[in-house]
Amino acid sequence: MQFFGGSEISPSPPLPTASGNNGHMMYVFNRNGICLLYREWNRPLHTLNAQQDHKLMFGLLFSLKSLTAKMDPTSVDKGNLGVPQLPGQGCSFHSFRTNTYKLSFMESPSGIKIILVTHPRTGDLRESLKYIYNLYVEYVVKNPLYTPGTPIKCELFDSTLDQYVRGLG
Amino acid sequence: MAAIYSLYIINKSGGLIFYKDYGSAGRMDTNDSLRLASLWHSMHAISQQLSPVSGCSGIELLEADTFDLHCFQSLTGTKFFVVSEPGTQHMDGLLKHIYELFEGSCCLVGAMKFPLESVPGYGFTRGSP
Repeated sequence: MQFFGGSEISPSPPLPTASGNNGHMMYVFNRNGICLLYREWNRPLHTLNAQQDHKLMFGLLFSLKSLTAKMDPTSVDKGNLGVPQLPGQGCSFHSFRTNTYKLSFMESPSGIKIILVTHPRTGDLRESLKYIYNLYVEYVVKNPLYTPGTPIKCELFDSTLDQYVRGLG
Repeated sequence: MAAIYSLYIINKSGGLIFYKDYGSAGRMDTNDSLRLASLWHSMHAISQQLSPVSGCSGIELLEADTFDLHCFQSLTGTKFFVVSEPGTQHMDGLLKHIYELFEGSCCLVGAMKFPLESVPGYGFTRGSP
């Protein structure tokens, strides 16, 4: 059984919308903060080396999650700021937007974090991230040669992902 | 009616200079609001470093599960942000208006009306702008 939605991954990937080519880059982290996958499609600006960049990204997400969990205006008992939260616990976030990019974020109950950075005017990508998560389950988790917790080296996954992200509106 | 939960104003070094709550559940204590404000300041700065293209000026909108956070940064580095219900529209206009009120009541052209406003750790004591 799959965690997100249907039992098939293929029938209708969400958002087969217009233009495409909006994706900048994508990260997949596991719950320990190890970067399992980094894909880059269009990134003219590199301010840091790859490892530092991954660390900074994971740190940003971690801290933003603490911030949203503490700021949550709808719950009374929020605990202290900075207390580690289990996936799904506390108020999380699904995206943020700056003037140059939009970052969409999803975390699975097992702590897999999927981050997609796109053009700032991209719409809601929550369904797309779930679809990418299902791709990950099909092509990576179910691959007998894959050792959990190691960087993903799977051609089929990469090519399917590239194709899907290029088609995103 | 679209609800606004709270409003924060932070100075260019991340210190909270104004905070007002408009009815969120479980009011935040003063220390927590200071911490959140400086945390937001840092996250805003880091988001600029991670931009895939140059010219990034930080987070404008954060969409969380139960709220939206809209942020506006003035040219002097003062940040204004409101926490509102998810999907609330026209927050940009509201933030610009708050900015005008803030500038009008706290700064004069060329000189600060209220000199202590720029002293670190010294917040508003003169009521709401």
